[in-house]
Amino acid sequence: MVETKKSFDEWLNEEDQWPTPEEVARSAAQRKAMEGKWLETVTMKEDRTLMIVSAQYYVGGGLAEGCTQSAPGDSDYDELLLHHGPLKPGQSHTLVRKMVDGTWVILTDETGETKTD
Amino acid sequence: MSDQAKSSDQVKEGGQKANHRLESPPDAMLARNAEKDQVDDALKLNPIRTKGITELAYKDGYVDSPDKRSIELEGLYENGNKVTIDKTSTKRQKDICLDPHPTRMMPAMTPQSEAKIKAEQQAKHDEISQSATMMAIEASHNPAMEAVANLRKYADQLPKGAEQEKWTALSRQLAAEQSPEMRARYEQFEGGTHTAITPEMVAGLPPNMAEKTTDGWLLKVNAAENINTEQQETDIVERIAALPLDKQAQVIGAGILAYQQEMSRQQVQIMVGTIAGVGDGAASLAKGAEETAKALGEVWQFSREVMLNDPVAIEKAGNVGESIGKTLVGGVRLWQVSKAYLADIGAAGEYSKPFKDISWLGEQIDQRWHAMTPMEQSRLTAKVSTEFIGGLAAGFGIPKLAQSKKITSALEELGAAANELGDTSKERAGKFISGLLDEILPQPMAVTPDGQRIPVPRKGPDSHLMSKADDIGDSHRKQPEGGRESSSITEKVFPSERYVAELMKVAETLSKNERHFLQEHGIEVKAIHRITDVPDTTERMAGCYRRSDKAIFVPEEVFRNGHWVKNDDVPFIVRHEFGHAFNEKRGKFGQFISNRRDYAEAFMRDFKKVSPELLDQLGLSENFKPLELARDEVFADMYAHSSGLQSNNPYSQLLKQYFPSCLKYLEDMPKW
Repeated sequence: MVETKKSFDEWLNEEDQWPTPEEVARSAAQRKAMEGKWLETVTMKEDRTLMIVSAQYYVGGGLAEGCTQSAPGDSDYDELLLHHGPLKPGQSHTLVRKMVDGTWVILTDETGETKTD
Repeated sequence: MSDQAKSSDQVKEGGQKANHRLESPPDAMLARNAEKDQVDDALKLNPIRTKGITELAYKDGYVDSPDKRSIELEGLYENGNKVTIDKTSTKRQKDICLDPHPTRMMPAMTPQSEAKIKAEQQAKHDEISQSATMMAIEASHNPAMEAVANLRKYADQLPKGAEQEKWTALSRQLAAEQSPEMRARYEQFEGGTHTAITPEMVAGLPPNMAEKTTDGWLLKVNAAENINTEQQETDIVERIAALPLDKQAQVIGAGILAYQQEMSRQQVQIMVGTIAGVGDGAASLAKGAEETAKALGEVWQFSREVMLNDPVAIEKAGNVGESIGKTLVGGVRLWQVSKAYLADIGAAGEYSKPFKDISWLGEQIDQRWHAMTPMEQSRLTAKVSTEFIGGLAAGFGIPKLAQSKKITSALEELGAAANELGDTSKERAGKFISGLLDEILPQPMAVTPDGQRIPVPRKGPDSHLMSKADDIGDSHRKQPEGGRESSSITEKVFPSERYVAELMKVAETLSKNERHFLQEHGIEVKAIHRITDVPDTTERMAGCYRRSDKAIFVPEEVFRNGHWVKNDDVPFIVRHEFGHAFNEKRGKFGQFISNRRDYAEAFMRDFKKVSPELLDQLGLSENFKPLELARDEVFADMYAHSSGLQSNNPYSQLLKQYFPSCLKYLEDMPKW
């Protein structure tokens, strides 16, 4: 736990708190591996509303994220279920996509298949 | 002409006596009128001595081969010059002497004149080996030498003394390192070796000549004045145009990449020069590469700014049109090269992104052109051609161009045709292309408070819409000045004034330290209409932080329940995205704060308590991304919560609920 008495500089200079060079390298590699990917998780709530949690990791660093909803009858509802369904209330499904030649390609789904979105 | 003649070996061996004897007219006449067989006889009588003088002549650089001539006859002028006659000549010696273009001229080889020759020769060698001229000549085909030549130029401008000697010596050291020819030259005349350049040797140079880098010292090229960069730029565009399309793409792509990475001129040259497969022209191609990279980089950046609906694009349109014009009349078919690269290499290519953007810009230009009526097209081309090319319009095929369906291809054709013409015609054609593009380049659009879309004029003293990190709170939006008559085909629109003002107010609520952080790292908070205005970003995102753009983008509208609706969570999103930037850049040695052990421990305490199902729903599960990124996401959200703001987003509410240790960590983190 951070001690409130410390100054920011003291806190910054706590050598033992920062990762080792090996950990930094591993961390950088993990981030690099995620660049260009778009993760979309759709969860069906009890009222059959869909909660969509999205995150995109930009090539070169940075990210976009958002959480939105879609209810039965909304213009995007059926399309979401087409990609993620069928879902039952309480169930969720995640798609990992990557942009290839200007097209989002699904890298893997729960069946392990790779297909074009 | 003098009537004196003598054999060179006699001159050399006999000294003054020989000279005296030979300078008498009868001997001279005999020698001059000697037949070839008489010369051969003389050779037989004087084989060794003849060889000696020939070797000397060879050593001094006066003959090509030590064995080529074994005897010479020389006609001596009154002023000391003489005609040397090769024994192998089939001409009569007399004829050769009378030849209006003597085969060889050299001073008389008296001891005094020989000493004089050697002194002059040595002085010349010294001059050549030391002079900036030789370095400049070397630089014309060796880009690396350009910096050295400029250093020497700088040294020459200094008053004579220790300082000048120091830089002169350094320039020679560098020249020897950069050029094998220069090194050989120095060693031939000095017999010395050259020591390595030390940082101390470079350290005293003025800032415009050298700068310290992480890799050592970088000598700056083009530091000297009076270098005609415009001419170099024209040259390189034409040289690029002469390459096959794939090589053009390599050079252009490397240039844009160099521009993007803000490389120095020297680095650009090296980069372009080392492109694999460019061939012998690489070195000369590298000359002027920076200017070309800059021009093409601006075209690419403009493409991106239009994509992002960035108002900065409004002010740049004129320059970009000019850059495109110069490129096309240089013979480079910019869009054809882009398409060829994308077709051959595709998205996997190193330069696919800039070419994709430039290609996109070309499509936008074509679409805008296509959206015009034939009457408008004719009127526009007539107007621009009248302004820039006058009576040459027919020669350039302007009337035909006005009927083109694809204006980019037509302009490429025009540029290639103009490239074959003289400089004046090329300049006019370039201006025509620039002027035409200025009229049809994609134009950002604004939305008025009552929801109407209007084009924003390109020219104006200040048309920045977005808040900037260094002037948050002071930025203001330029009022549209009436718009333009042609309608926009781009779907991207500016955020409304009301939203820009709202975002300004939110930005003003950032603390002084937070503002300073943004300023320090050059990060801007930018208002955009929709998140899809950010390249490669899908519609369900609420905001983003892009390192490459040094920007936090916050949209006016978000996609919810199948519709675009007003973003009602702007203050929280700004701080959430700020949290990502802060996490990335404020840690020690550039490490993410969320990777600190104490934070990671706090995170794991919370993480372990969350069910796998909920982790999946929150997108934090290790099934799909590393904990590294999950920690980052929670950090950013807790950063925003720790400011006391409430989020309207159910996702953030859930995170706050399930990651209390992380929230406390951020709340307790020392103030900065």
